[in-house]
Amino acid sequence: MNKTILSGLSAIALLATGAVNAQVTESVDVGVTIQKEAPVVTISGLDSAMTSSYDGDRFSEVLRNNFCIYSSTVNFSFMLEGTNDQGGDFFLSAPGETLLGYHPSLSQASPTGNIEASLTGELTAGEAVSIDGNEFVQDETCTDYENVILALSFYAYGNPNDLNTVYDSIDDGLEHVFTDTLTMTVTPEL
Amino acid sequence: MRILILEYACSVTLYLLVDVHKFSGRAMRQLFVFFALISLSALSMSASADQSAEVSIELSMQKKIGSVSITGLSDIFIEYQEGGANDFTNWYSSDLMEFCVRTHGTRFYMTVEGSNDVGRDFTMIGVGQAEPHKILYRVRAMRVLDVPVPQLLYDMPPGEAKSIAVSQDFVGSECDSGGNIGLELRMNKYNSDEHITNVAEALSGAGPHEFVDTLTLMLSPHF
Repeated sequence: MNKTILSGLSAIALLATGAVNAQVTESVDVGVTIQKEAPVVTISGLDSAMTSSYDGDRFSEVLRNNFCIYSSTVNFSFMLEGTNDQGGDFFLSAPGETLLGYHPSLSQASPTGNIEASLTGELTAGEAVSIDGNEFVQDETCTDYENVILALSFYAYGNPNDLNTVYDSIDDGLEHVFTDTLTMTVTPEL
Repeated sequence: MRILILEYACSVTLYLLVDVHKFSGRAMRQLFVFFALISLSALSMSASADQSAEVSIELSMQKKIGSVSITGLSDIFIEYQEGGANDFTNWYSSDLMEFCVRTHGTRFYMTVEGSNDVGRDFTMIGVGQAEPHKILYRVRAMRVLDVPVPQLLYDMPPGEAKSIAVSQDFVGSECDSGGNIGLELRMNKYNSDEHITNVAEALSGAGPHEFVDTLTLMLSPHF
């Protein structure tokens, strides 16, 4: 916290001057300005698109996006919202096809760019999660390495909206593009 | 009196308010007004400290076409001995002929056609007979992997495509762990002149008497 007192009190000096007369009434303005430094959070290095393709082999695909979060406060909140959210769940959609479910999560990155530790677990759409950045927040642009990873994993086999089930439900040989747009919001916590 | 405070935390503002409580009533009113302004200011400045970013996500899927294979087919021979074992059934079955179908996805279409099909029956024709006899039979598609005993999938009418689910988990990558599908031929014994028991009775002279047909299997991927 950085507080600066810009002006002080001068009332005592003025009262001393007025004491020459029998009764003098004066008024003074007293001003105090306290300015606190604004908290700052910064998102940088985030790739604007995460793309992949799926050819039917049975495995759980994971997409990753390494980037930098800086916060001048120790704690900050992290929230994601998608354009196809339903009941707190995230979905990719393609015209005429079954919704494809996925789980986004935010993790702390290691210096080599791998997942070091989960920060949020599987996120719920529109629900902010408080994160303690004490151990991984660096400077504003993460000079050393990008400190967080946004990872997307798809539902396990057996769910109506899982990757393989949706793939099996496609009844033609055309390319189907499933899309979503995630809006990420980072807020400093005082 | 004028106090100007630019502050985010309302708790600090409250502290200052208590500190000047001894001043005049007019001053108190001014402070109350000012406190409200401070609160609004704090809210708007906090909101502007948020950072937002957008990420588009895209996953494309396209099913592969024309990738279905069949391996392990073999000819089917049936030896029928007149007056042989009486198993109290109304039909006589061949041994199961196992083979392996591999395809993308977990389904495929299969069609079976014979050379002399009649309605829902296949037909074997007698070889070397002046007036060839005919033996009617049916073709049954059986699932043979991951089941304790072969399990009927479909009674296959000639020329009719049937959708069959065969997970790729059933077989190794090259069908090297055995077959996943089998075909069984089943001949009715008694109900018509073209059923095997009656044909056997009608045959003249000692055997063996040979009857043949050719089955053609057609497979296509199921999207």
